[in-house]
Amino acid sequence: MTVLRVSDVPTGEDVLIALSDVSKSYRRGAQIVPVLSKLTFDIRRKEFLALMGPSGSGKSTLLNLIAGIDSPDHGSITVAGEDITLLPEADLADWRAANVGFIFQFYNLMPVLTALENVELPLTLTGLKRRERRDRAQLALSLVGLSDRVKHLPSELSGGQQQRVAIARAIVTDPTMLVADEPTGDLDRQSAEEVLEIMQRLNRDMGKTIVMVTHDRRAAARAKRIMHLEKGDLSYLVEQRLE
Amino acid sequence: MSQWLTLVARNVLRQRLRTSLTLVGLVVSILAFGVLQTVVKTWYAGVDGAVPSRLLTRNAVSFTLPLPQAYYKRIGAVEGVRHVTYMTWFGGVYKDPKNFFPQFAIDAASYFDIFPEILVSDEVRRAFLRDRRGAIVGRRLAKRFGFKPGDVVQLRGTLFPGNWEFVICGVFDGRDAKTDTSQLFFRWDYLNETLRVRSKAQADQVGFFAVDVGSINRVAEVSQAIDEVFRNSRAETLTETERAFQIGFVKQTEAILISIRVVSFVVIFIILAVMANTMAMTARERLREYATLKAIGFSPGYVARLILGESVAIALVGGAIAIGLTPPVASRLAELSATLFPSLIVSVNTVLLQALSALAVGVLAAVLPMRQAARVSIVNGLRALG
Repeated sequence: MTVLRVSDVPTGEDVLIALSDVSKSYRRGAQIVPVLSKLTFDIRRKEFLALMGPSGSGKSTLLNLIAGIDSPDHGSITVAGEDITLLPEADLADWRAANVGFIFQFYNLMPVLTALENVELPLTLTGLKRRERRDRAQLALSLVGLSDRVKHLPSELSGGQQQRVAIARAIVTDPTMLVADEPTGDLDRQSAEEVLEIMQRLNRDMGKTIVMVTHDRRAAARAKRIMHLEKGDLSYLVEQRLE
Repeated sequence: MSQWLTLVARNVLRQRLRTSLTLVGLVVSILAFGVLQTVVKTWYAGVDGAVPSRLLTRNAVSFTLPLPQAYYKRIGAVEGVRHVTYMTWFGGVYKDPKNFFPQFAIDAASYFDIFPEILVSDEVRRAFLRDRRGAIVGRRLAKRFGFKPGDVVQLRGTLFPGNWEFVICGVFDGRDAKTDTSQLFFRWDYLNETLRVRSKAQADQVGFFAVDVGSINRVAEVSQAIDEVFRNSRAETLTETERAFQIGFVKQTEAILISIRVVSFVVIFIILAVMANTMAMTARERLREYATLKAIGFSPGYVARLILGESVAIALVGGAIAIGLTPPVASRLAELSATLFPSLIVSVNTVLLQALSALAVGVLAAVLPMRQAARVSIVNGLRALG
């Protein structure tokens, strides 16, 4: 399969991600627990969307579906014109590698790799030579202000610094879409502000489309649009446009 | 170094205590496997080292019963026999029964023609023929007790009554490592003359005749011819190849050998279980990392190969250390076992078996953790505690 990079799609189309009639449920023992029910909405290109809602409302599940790491029971998720729910697992992995940057609450860095090696990791899936990979990883680290921490292991960095390494890892392949699950959930206020500032800059200056799940109202206030999700039902989806 | 190799190498060193303890277990197991295999192989060394054209003639009833020495000339007269000699197991005690070593009364004039693997200098041979009380000792035995030419060695007879004194004439070497140099040879005529005085009923008898046929093609024919000569006599003979004799001897201890073999494989199975448990624990702890790798685009196969690489690396390092330690440990065991094992030489086959066992342990121990890590969904993996 030829992996279509989102950035390669003609830009005349304003909608980047389109969810149509998406439902998702989980099995808990013999019981089937619905999480998302017939959800339909669009995310525009270069948007910074914050998904908010109480615990169990299905916001992380929705993020996982958009990022292609989980599949819906019903409905379609189209990203730049491609229905990712139809992709087989191997092709979906290639699609994620080319189009999605992940930022996790607990950073999820490889503890045995240095900051530079962690950032370089996704580039090993590309055909780039080592020298070029290193250069790009250095550049990504400099974008998040960690040029002086390249040889540090994650355990030698603060939480805020680790999250910045994770952001560098997420952007190093230059994906159009970044998905962030509670990116400031494990950080103190100052580190959280630094991380949010970087994310805002990536959206504003580099045109990255960001979908962020958060409980934090101050974090959500950095987004261009907030969606409140409750009980996974479209009828509870509330849009709050900040621009 | 590729990213995969970097990750494998650093993951190996990540839980140093756990890796070290697993390595110790691996080293001990594969070392024990190697030593036990060597012991079994050495037990069969007599069979492997047997000369195909050499026959042994013994009492047909049991090898513990003697044959008349008078058979010597009659065997020598059988067509096809090139050389013949005779010997008697002495079974004496040197100071203490724990000092056991094989002692044979031999015919000094003919013995070395049939057993060329016993290397004796002309000077020593001449001295041996000169002195009726003379004895020659193997290099290993000489080293063990510090025997040197001129020393008088006293043995207490168990099969033959009384105390027996011998004068060491010299030391013999083995043609190769398989030759047992922990033996003592003395002159049969000295034994016989003494028995005529002390125990007349035991005189003029020998334990075995060894016959050199020269050609392997005539072995069956000559064996039958020798036994035919003594058919219906008071002491019928059974002539067989040295190899058949050795196999018959080894067969008496076959149950022990089978037990040793089984134990050696059980040891490998135990370390396989330990290693599999270690790898399963390791993989379970890293589920979130594996899920992260899969989320950013790495295939389940890549994740599985990380686990396989780590497991095989630990197993091969342990195997290499064990293989390196096996020869000195086997050698030390041979020394400690006194004359039970003339030498414990680790064969190439044993080394290959050890390497193969280490590899198999590494691969098999990784199978279940690889499957678990490759199959866990990204969402469930990300929820796992690190």
